[in-house]
Amino acid sequence: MSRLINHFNRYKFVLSELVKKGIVLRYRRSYLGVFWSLLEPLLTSIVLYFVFSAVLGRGGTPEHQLMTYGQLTFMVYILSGRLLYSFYNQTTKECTRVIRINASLIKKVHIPKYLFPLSHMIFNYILFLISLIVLIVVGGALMIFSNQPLPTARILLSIIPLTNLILFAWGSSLILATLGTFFRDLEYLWNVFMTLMFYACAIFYPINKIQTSNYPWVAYIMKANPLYCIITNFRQCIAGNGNFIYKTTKAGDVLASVQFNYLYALYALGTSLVLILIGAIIFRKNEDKFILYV
Amino acid sequence: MSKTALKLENVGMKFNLSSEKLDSLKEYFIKFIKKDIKHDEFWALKDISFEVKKGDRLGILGLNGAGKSTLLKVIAGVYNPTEGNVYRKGVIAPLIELGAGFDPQYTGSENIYLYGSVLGYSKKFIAEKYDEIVKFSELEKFMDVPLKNYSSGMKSRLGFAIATTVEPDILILDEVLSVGDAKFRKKSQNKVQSMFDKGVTVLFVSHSIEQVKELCNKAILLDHGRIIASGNTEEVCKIYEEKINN
Repeated sequence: MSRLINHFNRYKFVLSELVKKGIVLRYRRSYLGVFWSLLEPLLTSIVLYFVFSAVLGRGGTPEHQLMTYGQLTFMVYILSGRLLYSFYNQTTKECTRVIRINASLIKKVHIPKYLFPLSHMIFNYILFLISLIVLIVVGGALMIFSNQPLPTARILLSIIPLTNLILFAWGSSLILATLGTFFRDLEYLWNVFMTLMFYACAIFYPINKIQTSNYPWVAYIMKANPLYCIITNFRQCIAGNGNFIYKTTKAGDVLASVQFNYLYALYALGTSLVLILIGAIIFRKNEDKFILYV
Repeated sequence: MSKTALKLENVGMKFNLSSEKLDSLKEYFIKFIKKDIKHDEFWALKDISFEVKKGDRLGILGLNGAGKSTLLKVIAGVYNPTEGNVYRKGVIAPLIELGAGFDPQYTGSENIYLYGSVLGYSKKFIAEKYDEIVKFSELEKFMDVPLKNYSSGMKSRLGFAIATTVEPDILILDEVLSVGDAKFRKKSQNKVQSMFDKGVTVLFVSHSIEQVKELCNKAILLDHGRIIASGNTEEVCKIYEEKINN
């Protein structure tokens, strides 16, 4: 234990410098700076909102919205999903090539390699937390203006999906950083995969649309996606009491009241921990070889 | 001559020279199925054992490809040796690859902190030494300029100033430093000389026999990853000379 603390003390300054570098450089030379991490998700969510409510007729009338999104306004529904998704997307994408872009350091100085994916994940998480402000402001305003029930104390439970998100991202990052170093193809493959993930996370439509479609089994596959479980639970946390979600039963669609889904939480946590374990093992086994491949 | 500053025991470093470099999944799978992955093993270092006492100045001689740089990187901890152990005592200042970790987008002053952290300095230490570093590198006016606008001489001056601001126990030098213009070279040589005078342990890599004779009191000679001679500078240099003349 004391070795761990020593190790941490020794490298915490490097880690903080790497994190700082990531944040500072991302928005350097842009006029709005870190403000972009608020503006960017808001603007893309607005785009999604218009595409899916106007063009495809989703969103629709207020009544329609109430039924489908359990009184989470369509905008809040999209925004909450997209924010969580884009943190995961950004972090894992960067991690597929994190060892290679830090090659100059790895080749020349002694530094624990896991600091690179870790620093990327941390600065992306900080930017993600900042971007949650937009959800609070926009979501709060929409809830008040459209006379919807405000979030209850359950919102405090959102710490669970938010923590789970970082664990899930860390497990994935370790695996991707290792494999991405040896196989450059992974970078492109992962981009494609993340597009699939975007649709599989039910960011802009409710999953019961699929349950009632011709292919209800797709919904089960989607629920096996830990990121979907995390996002869904996060939405449940920020929805107010008196909000309902649509539940598909044999008798048809019925309304069920919103509540935190502990099964989802346990499942997502379990898969995240397994990923971290696998990731840690393959990363440790291969980190000495990275230098020969970058 | 008392304490050991650095000790290597049977250190070996193996590289896999794949006949073709495999870095795409498709290639890997095809080769894997055809059982066609060839790894030519190559030992860049083998059975390297030596000990450096505190205050010794060790010259490392060898022709190109003898494994000198690999040895330095193993000592500095960049490579993990495939076999054997390295014991280091105290702070190592590797004056090889000055400026590793500089970020071109970052300004000079930001880079001082970044590079300092990479070299293992604490934040407090860098804050204390900041003025000294800036003054030594003579870059007072350029601290807020992104590094990409620096000339290469300016970059290496900054790198040298940061790397030598510690008082190291072990100093690793690759060739003789030629940093910046004649004036700065003089200044940097004085700085290194002052470290020598304080009794720092030195590892010095060079092709030049004259420099090694001048600087070092001990030497080892590497050939194809093995030590073929070690001991007094004079003796080792003599063997090296014979080897060259053959």
